Amino acid sequence: MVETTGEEIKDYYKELEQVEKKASERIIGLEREAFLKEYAPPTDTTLKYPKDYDPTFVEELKLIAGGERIDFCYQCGTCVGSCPAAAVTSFNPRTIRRMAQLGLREVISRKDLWYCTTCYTCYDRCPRDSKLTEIIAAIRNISTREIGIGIAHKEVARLVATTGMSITVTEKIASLREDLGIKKDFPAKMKVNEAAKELRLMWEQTDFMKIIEGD
Amino acid sequence: MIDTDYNLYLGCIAPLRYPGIEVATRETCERLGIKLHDMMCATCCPAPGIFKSLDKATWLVTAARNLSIANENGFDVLTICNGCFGSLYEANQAIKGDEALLKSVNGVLEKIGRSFTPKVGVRHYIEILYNDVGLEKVKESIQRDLSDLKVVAEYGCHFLRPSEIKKFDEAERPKMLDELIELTGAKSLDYPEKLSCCGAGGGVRSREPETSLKMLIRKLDSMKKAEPDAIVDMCSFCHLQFDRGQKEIEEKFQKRYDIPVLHYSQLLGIAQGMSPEELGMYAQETPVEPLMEGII
Repeated sequence: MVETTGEEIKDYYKELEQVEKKASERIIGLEREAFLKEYAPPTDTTLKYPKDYDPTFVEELKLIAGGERIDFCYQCGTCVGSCPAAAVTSFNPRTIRRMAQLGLREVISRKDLWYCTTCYTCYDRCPRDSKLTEIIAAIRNISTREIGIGIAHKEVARLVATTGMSITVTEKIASLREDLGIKKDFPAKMKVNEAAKELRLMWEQTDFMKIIEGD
Repeated sequence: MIDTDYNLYLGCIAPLRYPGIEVATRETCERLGIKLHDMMCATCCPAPGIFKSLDKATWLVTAARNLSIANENGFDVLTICNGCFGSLYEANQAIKGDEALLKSVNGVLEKIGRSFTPKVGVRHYIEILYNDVGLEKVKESIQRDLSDLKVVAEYGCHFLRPSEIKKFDEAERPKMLDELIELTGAKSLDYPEKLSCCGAGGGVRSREPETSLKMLIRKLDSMKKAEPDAIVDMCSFCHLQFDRGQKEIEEKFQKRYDIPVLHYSQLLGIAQGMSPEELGMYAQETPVEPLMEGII
């Protein structure tokens, strides 16, 4: 039996700290593509991996802020018991997380990956502080890059890119605003539409325009 | 002495779907001696459930841009929607004390001639009333007795969680909104699913509307057992989910609840003597008229 020493545990946490720091540095700039090019999966043949195990996927998750605690879960199920979506559908956040932890990339194409409302109840109650809500978001980030953006979300993102706001101004609302005496400042006078130009420029930098453009 | 100036961050839903909430916020603040400054060129926060799920970097820089606008006059940001509060607060916290991240964010902001350093606080209307204005002063502003009113409170998730960074109230047993409701004379009823999500967030309402409504039904069923006259929320997006959602549930699932929905600013506006028309309440999907007829 191999014993874990106190020093090894200390080293482990030191290493984790480094990973967490890197994740935050890497949130901007899409080092992901460079990483995917460079990354060489472990070649240790003494370990048996499941057939669909993709170590690159696990490492990729750790690149996105919040994804670095992917290994922390011990499958207690507190998240499932706390989850409002799990209460009304077959959605199981523990399953999603386990798949990711096992390097099963197919998790990115699950329909129910998008059932999480990001209420952060599982995040708060997790005895391992494993930050599940952020991990689900990180899996969704990869899903968006690889499979693409959902139609409804694309519409919202495009609306923000063109108008600065996530919803349209209807005639009914415009006249209601006038009736209520608050027509004056918003959104035209507050230059929200002009601000959208700035968003598009920023989103070019984060490589996000590519995601919301095209059919 | 409290700081009485704040930047009003409107977000999208209040001004463009429930302008009554915007009016109620402006008016109730004015009556409490709070001066609100409009944030020129502010955009969508951006919607945390959608943007954080799509691309965390894009979410972060967009929120940082909005915060950089508040830095211009240096006043704290007052939000009226938990989505906006969550996005801006979490972005602010993520950047605070992380120089590498701050540098990356500024690398993007530079392209549009802006820069950001975490300076102002991101606050919520409810927490400002509770902490800065104080219950006593809010109570003094009340003109109309609402003691016949029984309501259920909806805190919304992103005001309370993740609780490791949001320490305004107890995440598992919050009290701020309940206390603010009860100082108007109204009674805040307890109900089992009080802390459950309304089902709107995370991009679920737009992408998976049926799942979203199922979560709402679970919550509404629990509320209904308490026999409330109204739901009082503190988030424009929860407000939209409850108000429009009831109509959608009726269409899709043939279930009716008919529980009127009030943002706390609207409840306070009524208590301060304003009319429901002034507060845009009669333009909502689930009728508020029958409730108001009994009160005024």
